[in-house]
Amino acid sequence: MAAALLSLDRLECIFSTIDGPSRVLRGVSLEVQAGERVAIVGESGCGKSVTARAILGLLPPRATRLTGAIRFDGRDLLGLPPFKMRELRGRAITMIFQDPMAALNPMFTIRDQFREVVQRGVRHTAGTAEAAMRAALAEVAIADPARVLDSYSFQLSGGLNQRVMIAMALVNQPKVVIADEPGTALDVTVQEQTLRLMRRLSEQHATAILFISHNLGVVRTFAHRVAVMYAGRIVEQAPTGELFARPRHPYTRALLAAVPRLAVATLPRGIDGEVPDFHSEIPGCSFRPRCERAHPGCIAPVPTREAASGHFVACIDAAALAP
Amino acid sequence: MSAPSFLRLDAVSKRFDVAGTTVLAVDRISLDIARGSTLAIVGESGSGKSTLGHLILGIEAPSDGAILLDGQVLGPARDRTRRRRFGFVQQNPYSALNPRKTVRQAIELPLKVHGIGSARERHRRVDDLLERVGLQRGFAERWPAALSGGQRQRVVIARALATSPDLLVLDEPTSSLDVSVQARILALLGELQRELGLTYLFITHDLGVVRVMADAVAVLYRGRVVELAPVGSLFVAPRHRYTNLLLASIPAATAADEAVKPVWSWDAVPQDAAAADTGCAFRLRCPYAVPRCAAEAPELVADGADHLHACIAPAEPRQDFQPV
Repeated sequence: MAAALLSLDRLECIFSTIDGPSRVLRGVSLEVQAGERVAIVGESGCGKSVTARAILGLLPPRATRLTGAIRFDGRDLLGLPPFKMRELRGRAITMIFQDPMAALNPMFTIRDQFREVVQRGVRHTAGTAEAAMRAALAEVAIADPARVLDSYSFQLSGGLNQRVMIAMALVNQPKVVIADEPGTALDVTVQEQTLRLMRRLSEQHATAILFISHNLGVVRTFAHRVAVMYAGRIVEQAPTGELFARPRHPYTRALLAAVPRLAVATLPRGIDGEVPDFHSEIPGCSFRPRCERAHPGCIAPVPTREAASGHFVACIDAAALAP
Repeated sequence: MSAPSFLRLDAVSKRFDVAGTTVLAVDRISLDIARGSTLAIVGESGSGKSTLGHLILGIEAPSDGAILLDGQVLGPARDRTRRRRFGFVQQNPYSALNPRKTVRQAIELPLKVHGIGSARERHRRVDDLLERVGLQRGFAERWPAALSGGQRQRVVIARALATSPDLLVLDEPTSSLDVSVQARILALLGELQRELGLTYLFITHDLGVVRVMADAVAVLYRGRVVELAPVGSLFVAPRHRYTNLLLASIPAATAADEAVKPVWSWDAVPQDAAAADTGCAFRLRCPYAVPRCAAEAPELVADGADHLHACIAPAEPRQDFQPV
C-alpha cells in the first residue's frame, strides 16, 4: 500500500488542567488513505474531537502537550511552525463542524465569510471569487446560490447552513476533510441528506474524510473503515462491513446494542457506568470497569492484535470473542 | 385506544404573531391520550411539536380549541393543578438545571412551591426520588456541573416526578445524549411508567426511539397531524409520504434494520424546498406528489381501524415486513 495521506502514530495528548495533567489521548495510531472515508466512533469524552483538533492544530498550545506524530502528505504536522499550519488549514485540510449555526458568524453575510475561505485557495479577482462560491454552493444542491450568499446564517435553515459549511470545506479542493458529528445538531432527515451529499462529493473529488460520530448506525453506510475509540485509545478498527458483521471488542458490541432497532421492538441496551475521567489511570483495559466479560486477567496491559485481515482489536479475549 | 380519554385535544390551534405576520404553529390538532399510555409526537424542527407540548403544559394558551383533562376543559393559564399534575422534562439537561442550585434544591423546589410535606418529609422525598431514577443519595448535595449528561437528565426526571404528576411531557429527552446513555434513560422511563402508571407525551424528531417507547404515534408536519396510528401499524405500514421520509432517515445499525426502512427517492426533489402554502404542505419536498396535492389540502382519513393519514398519494402498505 502506498504511504497514507494522513497518519497518526502513537499520538499522545496531555492537557494541563487545574486538577493536574489529563491524559486525553493515550497512543492513537490511525491511517487515512487518499479518498478514503474513515470514521472514529465512541461516546462523548473518549477523545474523538481532541484527535480531530490535534490534526488541525487547533488545541491551545500552552496547555497541551502532543507527542507521537501526525504525518500528512509526507510532513510531520507536529513539527510545523504555526504559520505553515495555517497555510494547510482551510486548503489541504478543512473541517466541518457539528453545529453550523454556531460555526457561522451571524454578524456577516454568508458571502463575506465564504469569500475569506475562497481567497485562502487560488488567487481570485472579485469576479472569479463570486463564480467559485456560486459553483461550490450549486454543488451542494443549493438552488439559489446568489440569495444564500446575500443571507445571514440566522436567515437560513439548519440544513442550508450545514450545506454552506460543506461547500466552504470543499471549495479549495482539500485532500482531507475532518467532519465532527455533522448533522447531529439537526433533524434526522437533514442528517441523512448531509451524509448522502458528503459521500457523493467525496467520491466525485476523491476527497478523504475523517468522520467523527457517537453513533455507530450513522457511519455504517458512510465510512470505508471504522475506528472505535474508548478512553483515549482505539480499541477496535476494521473495514466497515467486517466491523458490523463481526464486531469483537465488547465495547463495540455494546455501542451497537445501544442503537435503537427498527426490525425488532426491543429496548436498546445501554452501557452501565461512565466513560472514565482523563485524570484516572486504569491499569490494563480501560473498559474493564464497565465490561460484562471482564475478568482478573484484564488488568494486564492490552496489546492490539490483528484478528482478521485489517481487523485490529485491543482486547485480551479477542481470539475468544471470535464471532 | 378504547380506554376512556385521559387527555383530549379538541381542534387546538396556536397562532404566533412574528414580525407582522401570523404563523400558525399548531393547526386544529385533535388527539386523545389514554391514561398510562405513551403518545409520541414526531416531526422536524418547526413542525409545532414543542408548541404542542407547551400548550398541554399551559406554558402557552391555545388560540382556538380546547384541552380536556378527564373530561374537564382546562383553563388557558398554567394553574396550580396543571403544574402539579403535569411534569416537564426538557431536551437539554445542561440548560434545564440552575448551575447555582444543588441537586437537592432543584428537586425540592416544586415540593416547596406546592407546600408538600414538612422540611423533613421533603428531605426524604428527594432521597426517594433520586433512588427511583437510579442515582445514589450522595448525588443530592452535588452541583449540576459535577454531573454527566445522563445523570443530569435523571435529576431533571426526578424533579418532574416530585409532585407525583399523572402526565410527563418529555420534549426530546434523549436527543442530546450518547446512544449508550440514551438507551438507559429510555429504560428508566419505561420502568417509571409501569411502576407509577404515568402517561407520557413523548416529543421527538427521531422515529427510531419511539418504536419501543410509544403506544401511538402522531406525525406532525407544519403544525398539522399528517399521520396518527398505533406504533406497530405505523412501522409496518407508514402511509403518509412524510412518515416514510422520517423512517428512511433513521441511521440503522444492522442490515436487518436497513431492510425495514422504506424506499425513498432522495434526489428527485430539492431537499430544502419550503412548505407549500396551498394544498399539502409537504408536496414540494415529496417525490411522489401528484397534481391533486397542489389543488386540495388533504384531511386526516381513516385507513383501517385506528390508522389515520392525510396523504393523497400514500405509500402502499408493505407486505414483506412483519414486526417482531
